[in-house]
Amino acid sequence: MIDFIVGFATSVLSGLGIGGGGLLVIWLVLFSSVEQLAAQGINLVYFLFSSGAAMLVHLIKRRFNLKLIVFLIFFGSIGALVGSLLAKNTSPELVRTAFGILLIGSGVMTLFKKS
Amino acid sequence: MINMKTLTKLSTKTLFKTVFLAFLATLAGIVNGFLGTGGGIVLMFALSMLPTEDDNAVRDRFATLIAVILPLSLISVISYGDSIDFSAATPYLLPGMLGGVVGALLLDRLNVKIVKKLFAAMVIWAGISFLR
Repeated sequence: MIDFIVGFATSVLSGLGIGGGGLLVIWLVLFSSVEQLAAQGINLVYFLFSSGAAMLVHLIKRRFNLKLIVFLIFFGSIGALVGSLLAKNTSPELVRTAFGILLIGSGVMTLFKKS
Repeated sequence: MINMKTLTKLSTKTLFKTVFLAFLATLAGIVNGFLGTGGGIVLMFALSMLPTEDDNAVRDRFATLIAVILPLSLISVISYGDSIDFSAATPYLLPGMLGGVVGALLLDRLNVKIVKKLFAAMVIWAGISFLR
């Protein structure tokens, strides 16, 4: 039941752009004692489903610039490969620390952004 | 009258912007693969450099961001390979899909500014917990 609530709430928030992305990782690592890399893997799979479903709604309601999207995906894919290889070859402690810094950084950014 | 100097200046600016956008897209992929999340915030920053015509453009930008991060996450999932425990992810998938649809539908209706700020404070607190 608690898993259901966490899964639901996290993706509603991320659907609203409130930064749900890292929430499941926070839940898994801090409250369910899942290992960092395992939690990140679960989060990636989870994201495919939750944002995949959200995408269906966006496809109907939003306008897309296909050229821009293809451009970003092209360069992003290279990064995605590099990033996941890095994650597998870095000590979990370091990844965990980097994750903490990401959270603090994105939190501070949101907190002090004017718009 | 367009003189040659402003023209070169203009195209240099566009070129710089394109290169910077490519750089940020690559960085978004790296962060997303390395930390299993976070590519979105990098892309958000990248997309904020582009001009917006109206309020809806901000929402379109958000949808664009998801359209980009989805394939990047798929690549990372494949690349993580054995280290992913799919059975551990299953309990979150159905509620995740439901929540994703609800969130996407609510995007039009809510003013999320205050929630966003409260939330940011919570995320900072969580970030500090990760540093221990």
